[in-house]
Amino acid sequence: MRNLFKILLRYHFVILFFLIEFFSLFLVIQNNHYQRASFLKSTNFLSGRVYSWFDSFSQYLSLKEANEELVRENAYLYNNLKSFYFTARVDSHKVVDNEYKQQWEFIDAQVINTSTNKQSNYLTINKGRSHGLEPEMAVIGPKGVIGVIKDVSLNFATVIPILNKNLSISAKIKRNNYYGSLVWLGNDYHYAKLNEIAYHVQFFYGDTVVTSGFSAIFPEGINIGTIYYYSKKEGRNFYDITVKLSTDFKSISNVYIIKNLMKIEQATLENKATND
Amino acid sequence: MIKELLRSVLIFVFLILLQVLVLNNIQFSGYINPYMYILILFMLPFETPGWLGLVIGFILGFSIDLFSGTIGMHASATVFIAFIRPFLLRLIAPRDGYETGTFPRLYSQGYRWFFRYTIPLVFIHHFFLFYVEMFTFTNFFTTFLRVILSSIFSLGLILLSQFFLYKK
Repeated sequence: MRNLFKILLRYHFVILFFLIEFFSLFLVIQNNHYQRASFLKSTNFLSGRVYSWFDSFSQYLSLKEANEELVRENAYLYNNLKSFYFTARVDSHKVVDNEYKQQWEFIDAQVINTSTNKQSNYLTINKGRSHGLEPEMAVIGPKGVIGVIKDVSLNFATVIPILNKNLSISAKIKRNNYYGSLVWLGNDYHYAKLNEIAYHVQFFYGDTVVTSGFSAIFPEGINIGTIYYYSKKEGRNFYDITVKLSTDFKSISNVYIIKNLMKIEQATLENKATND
Repeated sequence: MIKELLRSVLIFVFLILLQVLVLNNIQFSGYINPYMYILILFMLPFETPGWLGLVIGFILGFSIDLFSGTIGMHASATVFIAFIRPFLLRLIAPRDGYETGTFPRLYSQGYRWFFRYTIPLVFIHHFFLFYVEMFTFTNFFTTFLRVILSSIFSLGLILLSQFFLYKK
């Protein structure tokens, strides 16, 4: 017993090192296991507070640009408002309108923390479960797709943006509706790759790439970016396409969360098909 | 003594805020992420007991982790260099030991000693951190390039700190 104590005392430095080091690595692996339980990321009280405080400061500095962007967006939305359209049809009798049923609901939020320099980046937004957010809802910005919600706490939520190697989004070329999957390569936050576009497909530099709407997360036709560069590789069946993302991930602040009101209906139907 | 301790705590808080609010947002072509906060470990007095260094290293890394959502990553890297530090200090000590009352600073130990002290530690820290972040050795050389470039940047910042934060 006494000898054990002696040994402990003698090698306390090395023993303590191994204890703390293994504890740290245990934490890493634990969090890696759930794709880095990003819940902890700034959704916790202290860092959430500091970040929202710092963000309110940096937002103040860019108020002008944010306002201009909002005005432009308002104008665009006004243009699409049904009440501003002239009705050409003459209704001779009253109908209960079953024609329009809302499928997508928009909730606005602010980004309070973001990173662009890691392999797996995350954003934090200031809306959470209490505002009706759930995991796997789509997040878009004024200029296009941003990502998908990963975790929600009561008042915050984390978002996996396109800039995360774990996310791939079903995207299509607007010109001809051919679709593929969009993934980020982990280096430059301006560009992503569009895979699975076969050689017979015709397209041009600068063609718009939009969401395909196949996943029940994103509505169809939301802007992602433009084709920046493409090439054919020997012995492959698909183009190598680089897409320039329309969203500048360094400067996002206002975002919208899109809720699919018919998601459950679609999912149950599709599950039925795969179970058969 | 109390005044010195208070100053150290203030620098601790300052460097952590600088790291999470400013330096974590710096990025050149996806390769360079400077990590200057390890400076706190470097500047501990020579006589700091090893176990205290490990504990401070863990607290330091863990605070950065809390802010960047990388639980355990920075902590494991800082604890590792806190473990290496005493051995390195002994290895590069002058023949008759460090003068009593001096600190591991540029002004008291000179350029040659300072680089022999900081370059290995910064490199080991960055190496450890980046590979734990990737958690794989695939793309070994891309990551290695990130380690090298980021180390150079961090070293520059650490050198600068010797003229502003830790001057005579």
